[in-house]
Amino acid sequence: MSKIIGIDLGTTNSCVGIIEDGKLTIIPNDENFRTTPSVVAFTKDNTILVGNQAKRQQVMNPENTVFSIKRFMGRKFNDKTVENDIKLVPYKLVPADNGDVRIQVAGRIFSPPEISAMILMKLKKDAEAYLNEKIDKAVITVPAYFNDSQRQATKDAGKIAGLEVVRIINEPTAAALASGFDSKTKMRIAIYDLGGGTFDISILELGQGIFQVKSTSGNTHLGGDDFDQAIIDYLIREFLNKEGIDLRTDRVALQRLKEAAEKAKINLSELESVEITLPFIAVTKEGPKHLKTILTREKLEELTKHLAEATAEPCEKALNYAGLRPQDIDEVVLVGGQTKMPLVREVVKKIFKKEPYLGVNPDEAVAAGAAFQASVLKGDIRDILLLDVTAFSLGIKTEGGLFSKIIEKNSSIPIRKSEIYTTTKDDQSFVRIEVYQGEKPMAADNKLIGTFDLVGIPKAKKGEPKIEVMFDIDANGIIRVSAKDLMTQKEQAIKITPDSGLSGSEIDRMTSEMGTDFAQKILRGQKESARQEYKAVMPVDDSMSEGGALGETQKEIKEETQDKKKKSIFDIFKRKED
Amino acid sequence: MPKKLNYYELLEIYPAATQEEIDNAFRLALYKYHPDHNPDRPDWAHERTAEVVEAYKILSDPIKRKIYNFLIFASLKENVEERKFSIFQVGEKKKFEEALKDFKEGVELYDTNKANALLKFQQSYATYKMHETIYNMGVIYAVTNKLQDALRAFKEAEKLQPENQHYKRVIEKLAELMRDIDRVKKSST
Repeated sequence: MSKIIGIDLGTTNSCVGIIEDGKLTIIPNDENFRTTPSVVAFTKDNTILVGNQAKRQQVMNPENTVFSIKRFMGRKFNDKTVENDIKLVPYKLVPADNGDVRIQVAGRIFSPPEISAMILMKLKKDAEAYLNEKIDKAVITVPAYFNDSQRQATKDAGKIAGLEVVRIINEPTAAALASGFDSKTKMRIAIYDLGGGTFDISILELGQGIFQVKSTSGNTHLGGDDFDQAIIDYLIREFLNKEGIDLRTDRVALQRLKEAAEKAKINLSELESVEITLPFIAVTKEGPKHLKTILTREKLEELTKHLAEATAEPCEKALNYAGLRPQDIDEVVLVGGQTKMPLVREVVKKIFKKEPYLGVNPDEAVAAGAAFQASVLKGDIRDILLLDVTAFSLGIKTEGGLFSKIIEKNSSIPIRKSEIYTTTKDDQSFVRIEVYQGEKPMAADNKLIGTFDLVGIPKAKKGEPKIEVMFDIDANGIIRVSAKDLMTQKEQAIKITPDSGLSGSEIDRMTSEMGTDFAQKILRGQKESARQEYKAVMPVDDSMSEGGALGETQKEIKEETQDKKKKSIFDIFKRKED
Repeated sequence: MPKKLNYYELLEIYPAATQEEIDNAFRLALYKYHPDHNPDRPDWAHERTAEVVEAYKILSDPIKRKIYNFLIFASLKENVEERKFSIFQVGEKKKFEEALKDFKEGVELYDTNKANALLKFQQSYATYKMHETIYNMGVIYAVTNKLQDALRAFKEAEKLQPENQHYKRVIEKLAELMRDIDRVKKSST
């Protein structure tokens, strides 16, 4: 059987892992970094850059550089969160015919799965180069709080990139697999996963190799990006007060602010204060203006306290659903880059009344878990099994527009529930079923998954036909609806109209386009040209980069954290081998 | 259609199994049926795993397990005893036949739609009072967790046929079950 890689397709960064001969490897990209920025750029010379190269030229090319695409996966253009995000990204969003989000960039329209596919393509190529072998299968992770449309979109992205997505698994569950806890003894762990764009909390029970998720909760729109935005907003406010210039309308300035904000945030996890210097941030009649300010950890915590504390409610909900108290949890595992922030760790400590467990690498644990699951599916690991839950209730619209639940949230998956339907008129030949996901009492307030029409029902008096409709949620968390005529025991024909997503033919077209045209563009001009662009960008960049005022300290910190990383990955091996 | 295995049969345990035995059986069944371990027959694995998960959910909850055990004991009556009518009871006989029709429809609906089955039984009982009908209503009440209503229905059935030993035992067991549930509820508050 061919190799299966595990991919953490993150909002800001992605990571790839594989298990070979029982050993975990995090696969470095073509520039030897263990994570790859989830950024795709379309350059003037018709090249597509992905990863570090795309990120480096972001400041110069903001309109044609797509980041945080995960926020738009499986979403509608009129979605509230999209309405908000549209103001924060410099690239252009437009609605598709079915209301889904589309990206307009480099004179073309792309679906979010296509952009994600470009990232996946790059990860796949790097893995192939590293492993010296063709890769066509992957396990991809998604936030536990991803709904059916978002999961489907992720699966589509894999397909477009030429990858068979053998399993979609939840990020916190993947992290639990990689936590290295001895699953033989019974214990309860909480996975607190605060990534670039999403927050997930999952409570698991471990025992005899089974990783059983008890409950999950979260927020698909709370992550490191929001922390960055809080800093950006602060810098903009300060600059407006001091210079009377509003930077919000300048896309290049915004991009430079974002980069500086992220860097400052990361450094403030280790340092007490940093200097942010952005020369030539604005040009006025009197001449160029520079942004120069000191940001302290204290100020940062003041700016982002509400964000860190917003994670408490989902945690309490998850504990409630699992029927547990904070003291019943044996370990709280931190995952996701944002959990490196001391303030976040303080909040976790307050919620769970114990010190969080720091034994896993927050940037790599999810990819490592995906790699373990890949190994299970390949049949190499036989003594581990994941049993996840669905984060949303599934139901249908009934009379008066009410939402009638069929599968409760936090039910273990795979799950199957069936309902019997009949006709209300004589000789009625079809019955319509609208399937929704969510918790609100009115169907319309929940997320419409699709419309299912039972068609070609044989002629009969009203109430006589008996059609059993099966609602399945598979191990990927993806919904399937099928139907059976109980009178004839035959499969009942069903016409499925999904509310969102790509059609089969669209996916086919994108797949072939990706395999030929885009693949060439992505492959063209890898490393070398990227390095040149990097140099071209540098002179106008801020002093926080290498060689600047803080250059040396930063370098030291970087080396130190890399050392720590090595150590904790080593720990994972060790515990797994035990 | 093959008859569905009951949860004990599915997990391959005895009805008196301890929680530890149920936990172990659940894990073994997962390893056996889970789609991850059965890549060559995903649909079969999905269906079986879904059943195993449901079985474990019920059997590892003490109250749900007790109700489940009770329901295995108090299964639905599918047939009605023959009734003898004299020539003076033509009207009664007609009512009986009408009630019997609803009774049969109720039995047919039981597996697929409990609410409609209950409606049919209620209709049947309003037309002609048969102990089998009110007993079946009791079973549906019990399945849908309305234990007080169930007890009342079973007692009604017993009143109509006092010599029926099964009814007596069902009432005894249900009363015992309700006492247990009360005890568990009290101890948890």
